[in-house]
Amino acid sequence: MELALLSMSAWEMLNEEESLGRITTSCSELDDILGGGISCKEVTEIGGVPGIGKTQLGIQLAVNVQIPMDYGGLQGKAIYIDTEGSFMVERALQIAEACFEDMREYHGFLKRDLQACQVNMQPKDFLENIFYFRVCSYTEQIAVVNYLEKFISEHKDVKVVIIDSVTFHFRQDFDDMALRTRLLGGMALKLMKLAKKFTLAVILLNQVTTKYTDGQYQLALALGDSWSHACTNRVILYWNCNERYAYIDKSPSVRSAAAPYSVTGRGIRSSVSNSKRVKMM
Amino acid sequence: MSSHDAPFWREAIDDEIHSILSNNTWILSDLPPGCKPIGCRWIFRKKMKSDGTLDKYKARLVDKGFTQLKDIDYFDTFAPVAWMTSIHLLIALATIHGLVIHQMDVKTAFLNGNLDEEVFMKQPEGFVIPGQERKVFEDFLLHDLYVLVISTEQHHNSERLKEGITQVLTIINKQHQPWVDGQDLLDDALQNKRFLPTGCKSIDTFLLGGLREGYLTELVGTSSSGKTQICLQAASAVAKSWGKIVFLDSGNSFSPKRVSQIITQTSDLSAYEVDKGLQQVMNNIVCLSVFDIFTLFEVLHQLKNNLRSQIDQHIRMVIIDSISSLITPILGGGGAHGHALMVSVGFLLKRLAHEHDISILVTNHMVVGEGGTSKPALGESWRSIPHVRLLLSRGHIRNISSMSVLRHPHMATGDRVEFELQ
Repeated sequence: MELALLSMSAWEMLNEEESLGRITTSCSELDDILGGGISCKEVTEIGGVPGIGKTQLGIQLAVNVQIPMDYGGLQGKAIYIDTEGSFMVERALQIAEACFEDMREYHGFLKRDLQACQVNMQPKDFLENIFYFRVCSYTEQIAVVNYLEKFISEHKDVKVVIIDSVTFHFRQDFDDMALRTRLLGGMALKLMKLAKKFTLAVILLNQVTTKYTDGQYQLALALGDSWSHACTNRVILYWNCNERYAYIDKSPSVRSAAAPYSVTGRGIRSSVSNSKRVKMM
Repeated sequence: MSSHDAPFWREAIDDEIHSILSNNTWILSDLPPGCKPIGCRWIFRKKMKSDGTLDKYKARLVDKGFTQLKDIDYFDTFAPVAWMTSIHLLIALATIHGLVIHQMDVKTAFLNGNLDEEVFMKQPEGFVIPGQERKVFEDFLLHDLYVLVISTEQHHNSERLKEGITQVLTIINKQHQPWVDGQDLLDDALQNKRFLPTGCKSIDTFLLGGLREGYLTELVGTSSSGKTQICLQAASAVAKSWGKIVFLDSGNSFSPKRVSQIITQTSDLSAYEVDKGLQQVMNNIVCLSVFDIFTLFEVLHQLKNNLRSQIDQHIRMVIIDSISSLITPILGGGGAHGHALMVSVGFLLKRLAHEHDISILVTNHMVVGEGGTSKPALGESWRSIPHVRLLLSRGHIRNISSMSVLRHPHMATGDRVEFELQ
């Protein structure tokens, strides 16, 4: 195990990073504050109150990762690990159809006559490329995460792993808190390793809870401080005057910033007040 | 000697003296004032065989111990002898299993032992070295290596003694770090252990120069309090003008883009020069992803071997971000091996830092303790391991952060500084 073989200098990593793609969220402001989209090789945690659109964002990303490379996407597949049962196939189909229409519109807009650049994906194909796992207990969740390495080495084109929601099974009925911390720590490291090894993005959707600090109740992400180092980036979704906002809470490379977004029939889009054309590339 | 057995007795005496000298039991020295030498005498015995015939002549040199007082001249007398029962047991075992018994006797066995106290003995009769009648023998086995070395200089005629002692010393020195005294440590600290910049001037001034080589510095803070940012800033600053950095990343948070941003921001060269310089500086930072504690051990051992064989000479800093995420999964659960691994990592890091003049920076997160207050993770056993522990926190105004001292060799706990993160 040679040190020289495993390590890379920062310069090499910089060059490599520029060739890594990013997954667009279909909302240009959100993409901007994320530095171009969700980056591969990193674990991103997205948390928010119920109803803010976490699952919607998760499904949107599972569809967007499949955008062909000619359209600026990663042309990859997605793994969706559902712990709460909130994945709705009809909604995924709806979002896939909207994405398909946007791609066709874009194709027509630019009037490219490259033969290869044809939209040969149908909305149903989008669904075929999402691998869905349903877990019902924390042991199943840990088992799936352990199995992922083998699965992904057989399906090399998986580019995103979405876990919705990662903390659900760990919040109830845990007598031994120390065991919970150890299990979560181990799971977090495995996910980090997956992200790095296979150059994919791992997205963890998380719930919020109330925390009593300094005499007042505050909303904080579930599992708190012990889980806080399990992600590379953290995005918090919140309500502000009837508008949905996303805030970058933790990131090593981008500044903290907030951006509005909205959840429409077609999926996640820019907020209605500044309606722009959907950004494709 | 006048008996007609005189030649045999002479031979026995010579034999005994020869064993004593070859075991280096004593050295000839001057009697220090205040010490009383004890006398000695010869004891002669004819040893008989079981049938009554003569076996051999034995001579033994003993000192007159009755002149010594307990607790003043000696502390205990202990002569280890085997119980007869044990010998019976061994013989029984041998007969049961049909083994052959080979019985051996060590000549002058007592001379192989160590003596803790200093004993002065008069020179035995018949063996007084001419010209040094006044001197006394001092028991040899000392616990001070320096006195041992000096005493060999005094024995001009004993080349083999000197050789033997030099050999012993080389073997001992290879096993452990050489002994150093305070003066050597101070010189080493002043010349070899410099202060590395953290990339932020206020922090450097606060820490009396920066991150000191030879120290293990820990940065503690809640999530997104700026720990990784400081690590990246320090890496950029040190890579620019000091040497190589090894960055061990457990959370994929090493961002080359951010590092290039920091480097270009803080340099005041023209745009073209910046690009060239950027490649050079970034090649000084080596990043490695580590996702479990055992990989960390392997990496650190490899690093240690490389440094010892002088392959990676220019490493000035090692950053581990974050060491707590590597240790938390193994801590607890009833077994003590988690704690043992954590403490071994700590010692390995401190040793690396001191031996090779490297500054080591690690990050730790916070957990909720009793009463709802936050405290650093990794518990009580880890608390005393880092030399310097610094607590980071983000203020209400997003850009202003503060750093306070939790532990430092020469700064007061609770000292604070506020600074602005870029």
